Amino acid sequence: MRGMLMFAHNNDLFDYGKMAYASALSAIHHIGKPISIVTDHATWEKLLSEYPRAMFTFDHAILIDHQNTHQRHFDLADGSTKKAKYHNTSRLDAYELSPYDETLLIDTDVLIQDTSLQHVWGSSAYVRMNHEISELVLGSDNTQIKLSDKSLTTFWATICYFRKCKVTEDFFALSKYVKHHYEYYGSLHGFPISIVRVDYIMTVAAHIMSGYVSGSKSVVEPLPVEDTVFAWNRDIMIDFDEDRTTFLTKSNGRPFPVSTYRTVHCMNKDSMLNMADRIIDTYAIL
Amino acid sequence: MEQSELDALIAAADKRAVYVNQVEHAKAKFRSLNVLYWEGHIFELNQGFLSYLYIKYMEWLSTRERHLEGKSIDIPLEPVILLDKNEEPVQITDLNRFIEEVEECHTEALNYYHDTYTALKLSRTTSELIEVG
Repeated sequence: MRGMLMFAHNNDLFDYGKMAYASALSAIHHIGKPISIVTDHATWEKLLSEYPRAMFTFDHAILIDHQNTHQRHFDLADGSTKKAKYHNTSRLDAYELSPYDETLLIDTDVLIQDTSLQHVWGSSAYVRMNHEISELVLGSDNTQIKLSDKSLTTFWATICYFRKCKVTEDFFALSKYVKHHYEYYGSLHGFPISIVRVDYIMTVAAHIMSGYVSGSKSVVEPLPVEDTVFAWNRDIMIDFDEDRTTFLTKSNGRPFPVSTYRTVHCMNKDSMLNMADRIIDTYAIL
Repeated sequence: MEQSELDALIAAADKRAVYVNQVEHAKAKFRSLNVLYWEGHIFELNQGFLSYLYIKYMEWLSTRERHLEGKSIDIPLEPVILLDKNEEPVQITDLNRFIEEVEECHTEALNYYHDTYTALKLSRTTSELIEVG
């Protein structure tokens, strides 16, 4: 059985349930597989009270108590920042919680705008994540970011495919081990430990399991399209239409609007939430 | 942000730079579409691959035709082997179906790119450029 999975826990600042609903509709439209949500009671009840149809959008609602709350700064659409609670580490339980044999784990701030992820199913790889990213203002090459200057290349857990098997089970178990020793791995690889980031945890686990090699010898292989488009915090979503999302960013000190036609990871959650109702309305009528 | 404020910011952008960037985005989407997924393998349908594929296809068709005509021929009709994106050899057992899927995928990607590129070229303002797609 194949399906998608999202984690959503509201905090004082953002309605992650609503963001997950918008993102899930885009994923179902383009990938055409069932999607389940892992959430907490409060987030789920709020979502259903505002969007009753969400009950039928999600294949399963898996209710858990979120754990390991910590604080971080979030960028807002007007350029300011605010500190709020952040619940993200339950994503490491995705292996146990997923009701599917093959799972596509997607962040709530990802808008799926193409069908390339349909080709991930039946994969020979155990786990697939990208480590290449591209930005909205396209430069010469795609970018790989390292955990620190001379450290490991980051894998982005934003979109993660895995199939249930012993190797993947070990990968998630190792990820939890890395999380448990986050401070040690942070000092070893030189990344900041103030925020527990799943990307960092999975990066360390992936490199350990692969014997610190990359490419085709790695346990973690790339997704069908090998780079993920990132809209950074400075990139504000200003418009949305089916298969096209428009952002306002800056280039050489001047405003720079960009429309992307590909799946995009929207780091500025505030601006994505401002557009969430339009996204929901667009996919609701398709 | 008010719509009027947004419109003013968009109007202040460098239209030529936005055009170049939008063409790059269309090209990136074209590349993501111009890929055939075949029995767990990935084939990038670039022009080099397509040229090689059609040469092999012509050879295969010609050999098959001679076999069908019952002519005496030393060359056996064997499945074609191609290298995928990761340089792994893939035996294509149903070459006709493979060619059909390649053509469908490549044509769809090219049509998308052509339509988007043409619409971008015809856009007169920055607002029009970012509404293409």
